[in-house]
Amino acid sequence: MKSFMGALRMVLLLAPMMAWAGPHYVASRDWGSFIWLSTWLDAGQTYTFETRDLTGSAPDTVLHVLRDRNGWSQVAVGDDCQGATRSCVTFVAPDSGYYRVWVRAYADGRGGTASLYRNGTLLLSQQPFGGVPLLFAWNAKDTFRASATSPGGGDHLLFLLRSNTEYLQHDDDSGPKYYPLVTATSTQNVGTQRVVVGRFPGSAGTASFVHDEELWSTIFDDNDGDEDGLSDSLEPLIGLSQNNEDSDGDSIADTLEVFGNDGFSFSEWSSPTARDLYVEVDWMQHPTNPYLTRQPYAGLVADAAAVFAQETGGSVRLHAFIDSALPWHEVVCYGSCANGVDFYALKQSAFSSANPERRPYFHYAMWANRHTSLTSCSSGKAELLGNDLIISMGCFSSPSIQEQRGTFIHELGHNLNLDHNGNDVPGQYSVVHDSVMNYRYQFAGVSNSGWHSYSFGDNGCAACGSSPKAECVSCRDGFLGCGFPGCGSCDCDVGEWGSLELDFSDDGDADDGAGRGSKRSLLTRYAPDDKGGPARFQPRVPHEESSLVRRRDDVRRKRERLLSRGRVEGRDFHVSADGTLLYAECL
Amino acid sequence: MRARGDKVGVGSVVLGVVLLAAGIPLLVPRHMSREDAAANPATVHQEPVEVARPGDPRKDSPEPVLHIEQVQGPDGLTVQVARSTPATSSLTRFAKDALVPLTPDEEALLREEPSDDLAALVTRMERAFQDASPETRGRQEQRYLAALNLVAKLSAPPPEDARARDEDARYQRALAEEQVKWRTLSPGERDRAQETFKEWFFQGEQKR
Repeated sequence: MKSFMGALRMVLLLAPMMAWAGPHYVASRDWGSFIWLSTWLDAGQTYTFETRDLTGSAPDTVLHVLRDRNGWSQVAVGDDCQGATRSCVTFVAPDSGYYRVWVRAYADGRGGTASLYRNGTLLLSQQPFGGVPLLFAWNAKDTFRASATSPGGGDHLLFLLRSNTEYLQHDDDSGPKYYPLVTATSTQNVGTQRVVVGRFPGSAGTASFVHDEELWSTIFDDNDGDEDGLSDSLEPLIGLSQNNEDSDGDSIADTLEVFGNDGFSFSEWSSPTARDLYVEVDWMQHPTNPYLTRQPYAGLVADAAAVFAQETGGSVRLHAFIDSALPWHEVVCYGSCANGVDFYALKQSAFSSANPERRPYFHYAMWANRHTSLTSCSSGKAELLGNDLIISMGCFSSPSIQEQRGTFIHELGHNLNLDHNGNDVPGQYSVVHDSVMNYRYQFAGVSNSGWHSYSFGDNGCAACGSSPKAECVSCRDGFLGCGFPGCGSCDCDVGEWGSLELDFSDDGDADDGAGRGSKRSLLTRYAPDDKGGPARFQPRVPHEESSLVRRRDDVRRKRERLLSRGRVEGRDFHVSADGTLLYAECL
Repeated sequence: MRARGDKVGVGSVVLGVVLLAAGIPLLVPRHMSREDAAANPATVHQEPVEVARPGDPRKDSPEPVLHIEQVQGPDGLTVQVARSTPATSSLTRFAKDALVPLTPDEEALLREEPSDDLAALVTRMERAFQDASPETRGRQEQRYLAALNLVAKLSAPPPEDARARDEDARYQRALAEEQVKWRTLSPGERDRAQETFKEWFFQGEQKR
């Protein structure tokens, strides 16, 4: 009874503290650089370090001297030197070795530049100093991360302090891709503790900050319902779902988009709250004739990204990368074919060969000469609900920028489950279906404007507004003789942007059968354990195209899915004779 | 006219030969050409070598150097080419274009450690410093400090922060009022009082 009362009393005492020490998130920002100097000091010698010549809006330095003796500790610290905002410390070096001089800004916005002196001698001149302290309470085993959020992002450091002058811990690169990751060794809640984030000298870029509570910390239950490595308390702070490991539904797990990973780090490119769509583009280079080389124009990436940005208001973000040249082949086919090369064989050798961690998340676009046969003049062929596409403009002597851009977005649309919407008969293309998916507008742009959008029209009929496209089939058929009553102004593809499907298998998880891992297998790629231990993404994910059996199974699943939504096989989509490919083939 | 023209032509050739004969030893230091020729006449590719120009360097300008490279000519002919301007990294070009005055240490570092990544340059120099022997530590520290100073010169200046300036003005006013109360305190006590006041003030600012 006595022990029970004691435990109850402890719970009551700790309850306010537990409530106080919740997780914290700071969105992507510039944290400023630290002065982070390694210096050799001799035992028994007296040293004076000081900052001078401060410049900035309101410059104010704090100077720490740290030493690593099987763990870091603080040797000296100084904030205001004789009442001024510059800093100075004098101390006797306890032993010989390398020490760290760390100079930071006292508070957010109080950075600038400062010169650093040792025993009156100038060491560093007008060094930028910054860093931002964040004041909140935490518990032992809580984690702290700063993840780069700009491509090639900066190298950040993260410090825990008990007060303005008492150093506790720091880390430079224990996290994914050498981002800092600290696990608190003690609870700090007296009100003076702070976390300080800043950059390594010379690096640039932005980072987000995440403080999360210990995961799986209780006996009976855990505090991470979707087991994505972010606690249920943290996820609402970032705008994420507690019940979905991929909150924005772009098939890239929240963990990767928030914490990043080794190699091509998704935190540097992605947002956990917007659907990010990645495409690698390789092209065929003719060995002797540069006019035949099928290299896309350099501005394709920016142009295509702009289309997605403008039409979706930023909710779908396209990241296309024009990557590398492929050996020349007259014809490329999905699978083996006469006079042609197997798309999958080429892809196996060229697709993200330097960054295999990208493979499960990237679409692969091959800019080729022709597909299927030497006589084909089709501009492309793409998987419907898939991740592979061929752009084949071999019959275009010199494809214009508009033709290239329109075809790329058109074929990518097939990957995203958009079809031609019945506009497959030459000379009878709808004028109402105002989309790049309509051949009428593939090259010229919607309304012949040069702008390549999936949905441009706003003249949808009532039936289209509230029901699946299937209900508009008769309406669409009417396009071919669009004098049917009520069909003259019907655009069955209004809102086509909203129906872009990145979850290809439509089963609510990220597995489309093309290489993405399931929830469990994703977690196992973190070693040694994501349950409180340092998470580290394993970048070398072996990539293999699915076996024929698996491909047939995928095609069967997708076919059933499309048929159930009113799509018509042979018109809206095709299945190859061997049953391994479900595709849209373009004129 | 024709005879005169021939004389001019012969004179030009003679003058050219004389100038060439005089120019070669000037362009390429004698000891370099001798050593290189003797060392490995069959070498086709050679890393660029930096050689100090003979004579006293001027104090008002960075020490100029000649850059010597092996260049493969037609029919397998290999020649040495001396250039006064070495191949430069984009950082070097940036520093030159931006008219950032560099110290000799910094210039030497940019020449010897071409890099387009400042953070990587700092890391590399830091590692070399920490791996240095007691004999080379001083030299490596000099290079490490040069890298950090180079970073500072080539970094964008911190942006102006009006909010921080206003906050600082409020702090300085409040501090001046408080300091009146600390007149009787010892210097050590005044420092502690200021530290406490500063913490109190900025924690309050953060909650504003």
